Amino acid sequence: MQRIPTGRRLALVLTLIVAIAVAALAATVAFAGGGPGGPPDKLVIAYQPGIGYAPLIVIKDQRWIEKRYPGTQVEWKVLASGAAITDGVIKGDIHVGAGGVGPLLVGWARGVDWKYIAPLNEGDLWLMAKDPSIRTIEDLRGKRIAMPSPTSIQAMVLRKMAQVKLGDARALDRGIISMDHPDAMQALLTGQIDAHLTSPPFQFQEKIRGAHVVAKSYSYFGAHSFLGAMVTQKFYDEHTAFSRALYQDVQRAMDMIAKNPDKVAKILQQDAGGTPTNRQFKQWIVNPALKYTTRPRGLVRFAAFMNRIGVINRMPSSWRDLVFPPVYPTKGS
Amino acid sequence: MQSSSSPALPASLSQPVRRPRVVGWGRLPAWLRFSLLLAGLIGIWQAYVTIKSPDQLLFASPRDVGEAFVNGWRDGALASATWTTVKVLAVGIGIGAGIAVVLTVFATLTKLGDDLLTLLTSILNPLPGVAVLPLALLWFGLNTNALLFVIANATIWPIAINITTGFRTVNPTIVSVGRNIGLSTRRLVTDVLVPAALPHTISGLKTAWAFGWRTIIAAELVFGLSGADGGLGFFINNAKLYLQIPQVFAGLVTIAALGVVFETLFGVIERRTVVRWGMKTVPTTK
Repeated sequence: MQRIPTGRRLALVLTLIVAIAVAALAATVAFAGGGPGGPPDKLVIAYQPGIGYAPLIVIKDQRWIEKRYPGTQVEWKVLASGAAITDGVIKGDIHVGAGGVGPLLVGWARGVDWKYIAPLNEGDLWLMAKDPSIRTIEDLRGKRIAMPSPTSIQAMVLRKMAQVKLGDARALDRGIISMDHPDAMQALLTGQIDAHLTSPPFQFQEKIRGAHVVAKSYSYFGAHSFLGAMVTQKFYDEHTAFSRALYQDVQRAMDMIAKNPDKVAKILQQDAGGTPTNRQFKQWIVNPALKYTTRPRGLVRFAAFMNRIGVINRMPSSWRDLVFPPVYPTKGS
Repeated sequence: MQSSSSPALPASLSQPVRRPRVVGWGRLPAWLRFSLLLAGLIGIWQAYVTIKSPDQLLFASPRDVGEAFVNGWRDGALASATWTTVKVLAVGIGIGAGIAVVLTVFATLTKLGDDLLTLLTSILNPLPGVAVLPLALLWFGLNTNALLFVIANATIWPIAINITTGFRTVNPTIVSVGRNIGLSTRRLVTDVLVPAALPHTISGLKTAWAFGWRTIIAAELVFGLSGADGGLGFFINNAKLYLQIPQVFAGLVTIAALGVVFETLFGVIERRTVVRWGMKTVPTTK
């Protein structure tokens, strides 16, 4: 019988383990390659469903980035949740990620080196219910409430509501169901969930289709920023001129929304694939529940609340810690 | 005949292949060998983190994971997540096993039942458990019933297949002996057929547990039900949302550890029954 001597077998096993470890190391080194300076050759911009992202949709439709930087290949992605966008930015697959104040602060506090290059809007987020017996926050105990994720801005709003009305910020956490807005709207209207903490235009649509407003985020936080476009410090440092231009584009898109809502409504309708109607989109973008502005508002207020209830463990010293220099002149909060 | 002490051969070759007595890897007890290997792997993991210091948002060191694991069990978050998962899994497998037994009895008694079972297993057994989750969510809504349905579906078929095979492969001689000594049909079933089919039944349950375990974790990951009622899959997902990477790893460690515990449990059951009765041999770990 031929047996490999024990000592040599042990050596063999150890060699194998070391080989695997070396291969793993080599693989990570190979994937860690960085990009050069100047405008990026390839740019991936990701946003989520909803008219809050209208300025980005205008930029996409008008091809402003491609016109200014013909050498840059731009790819637009619509992802269902802020968490997916966070993952993409951390991994480097997404360069410009748009999302709510919740993921921005959770990521920032955990060491994701990102900030808003351009806040997109202030938004009043409504807590909707269909069952007529659900009238107040108190009625929501033990109920199922949908929102994009437990780290979304909606989840922070819900916790604030629970803290004010029920005395415990986590009182309604058990009921949080992670769902993207389109799915949650369907689930609310068919009675699969009890409430939906949502955003424009889903709250408008739900109201038309028989749901009612239980509470609004502005009553708890005052008028506050809702969404923004984020890039990492590394991206900003490498492509500063490009980032500044992106901020200008967002501002320009907002001017267009203000001056020519008909045209923007048409763009949004085309982007959405033709439904709902043009008029519907126009009504939505001029609704005061959503105000397109690059001025950040209430970022520190959100951070303080999230810090108090233990969602984040560090505080920005000012709102400027959360935005890049192009946003500084807006005098935010 | 050649003497082993022949001066023509160098000393090292003249001796029989030497088996080291003290430091021989194979001579160490199994638990020590595996502990050493595990320690070695963790050492490489720690070394990788120390040398390369990868992005903490992507990778965690064994130290951080250990801390997250201990804290998670201490503050009850991991314990309650584990309890939720195991509870749902147990009920799901229970339902699955119950239905499997009914189907098998029906299949053993009638040709129609036999054909039905053959057809159903060939259609539904290859279906990955999570594949029916979207449908289950529509039918049962966003609650535990949907999970139970998915697990039951994932476990019925391996159990049913194995029990039927068990019944079919019972040694006819044994059955004949039972008949000859005048056993009633009932006793023939309970005292001859069922024990004879036990090795297959146990391996059916083992497969069912493996399927169910993978299915429930996957389903919880997709499912997204939140709050204190979430299981281990949810725990991992939630930790990832908050970018708490050590907690993600701690959840994975818990899943792996539970897997080992259950495998061991099945091993013990087998050793106590079918192995002791000489119906199955277990390859001893060398």
